[in-house]
Amino acid sequence: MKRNIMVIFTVLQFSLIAPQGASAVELEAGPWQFGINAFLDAEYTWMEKMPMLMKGGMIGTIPETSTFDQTHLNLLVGAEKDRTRININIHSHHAFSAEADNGETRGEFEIEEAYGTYSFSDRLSLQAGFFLTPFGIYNSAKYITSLFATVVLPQMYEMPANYNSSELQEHLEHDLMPPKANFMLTGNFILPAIEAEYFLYATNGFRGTSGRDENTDKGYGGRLRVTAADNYKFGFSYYGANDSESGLSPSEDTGRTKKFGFDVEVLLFSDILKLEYEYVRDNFDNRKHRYSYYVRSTLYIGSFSPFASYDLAKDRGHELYKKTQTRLSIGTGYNWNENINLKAEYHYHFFGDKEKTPVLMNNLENINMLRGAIIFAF
Amino acid sequence: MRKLILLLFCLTLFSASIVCGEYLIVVNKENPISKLHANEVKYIYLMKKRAWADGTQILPLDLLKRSKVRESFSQDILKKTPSTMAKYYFKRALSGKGQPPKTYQTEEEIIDYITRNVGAIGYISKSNPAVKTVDIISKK
Repeated sequence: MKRNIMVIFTVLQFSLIAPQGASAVELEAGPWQFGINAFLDAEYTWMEKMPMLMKGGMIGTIPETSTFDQTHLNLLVGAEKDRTRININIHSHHAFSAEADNGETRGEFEIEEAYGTYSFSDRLSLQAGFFLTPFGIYNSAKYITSLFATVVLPQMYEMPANYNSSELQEHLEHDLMPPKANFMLTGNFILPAIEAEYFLYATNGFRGTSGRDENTDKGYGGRLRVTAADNYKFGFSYYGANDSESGLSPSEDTGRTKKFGFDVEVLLFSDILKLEYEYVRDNFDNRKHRYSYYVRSTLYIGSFSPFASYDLAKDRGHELYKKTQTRLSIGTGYNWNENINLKAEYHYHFFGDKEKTPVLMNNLENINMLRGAIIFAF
Repeated sequence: MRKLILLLFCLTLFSASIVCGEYLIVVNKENPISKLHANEVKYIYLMKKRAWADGTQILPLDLLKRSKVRESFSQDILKKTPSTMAKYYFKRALSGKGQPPKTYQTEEEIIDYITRNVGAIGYISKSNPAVKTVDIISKK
């Protein structure tokens, strides 16, 4: 209770000291222009039961849980001069939480992204440093998506909370997204009625369980986004790396990891209705594959943004996800003002493929979840 | 038949002419640009076109969201409301893609900024001798 009050107080404090309106704090120093943006959210989660995947492949549940916690804090500092831009994204999970929980580190600030961009022209820019990979609709902005999308990201970006015990998470990581990129060429081509935006990047790949940088685990990828008639956007994403994501050592490495993604966003009726579809697939370990897709519709009516979505994920190498997890969701956002957003969502999860799986404990198949968030940003 | 052809020809000319209604697009007098496609202006304000042909950085300027001139410009050129564009700029800023156009309360401030910056572009409600008006061409 005390922690919940502290979280609410922190969000309200931010709203008082930050500039009015949605603009950043802007400064000028000679030819350089600086901008500081911030994003802070507090989230409420209620789960009917929490599935846990434990050692030995046993699957169990723990009873109903309810948490309210400050989840994300991002400070984005940008500096710009002529063709050069430098960005630093400082991120913290649970920055204002008073206590630790299950060994999770709280209150640590990390530099999540730090990169410089030089624009030779609109058609060619070079970006270097470390930054979120442009794969799919949301990966390059996934820490702030609760502001302009939903609190709960589609499964391809973020597996449901607590579906793995921490000991096994490293080996059974479900996240389909590539690691952060280090070098990127990007630009856009503008033609009558069509805009094409491209991204070509290289990464250091995934690291093995030892955490050492293995020379063979370099990755590369690309994304092409085509916008037609302003309102129809089509995206194609690819990523390949020289290692396996299963945590095997280089000597056991079974080949190249490849990820493919396809996405569509359509705005209709003067931007009142948005339709999204995204499909992502990869084939790590060369003998298994996993995929995920979702479809969502969102209405923008005044300050409200109600949505409905269907989301499916399957992973043949995962004790839970080989059964296929499906999620049905409804919810809405509300723009309180230019700086504060409220979100409320209901999610219903169920696992399929019952006949081919071991008996699950405590009716794991169907799980209800409520998520809410207060978001403050400038 | 001849009259029909003449009518169609006139309509084609009309559609390629100046499209501006309640606003004028203005730039610094030293900017060599005299005409722009509506699409180019749109991509300038979407922050996708960032340099003039000679490499000078483009500095787009906005009036406040509540301004009728901005409303007119936004609907006509960007095909979006000022509120929708504000969300677009906000998301870009939080994603590290750069800050939105500088926003000013009055047209005098816009004109003053443009006179001091060769790369600047903005919109005002009536012509002013301190800045150059640019013709906007739109092909339908």
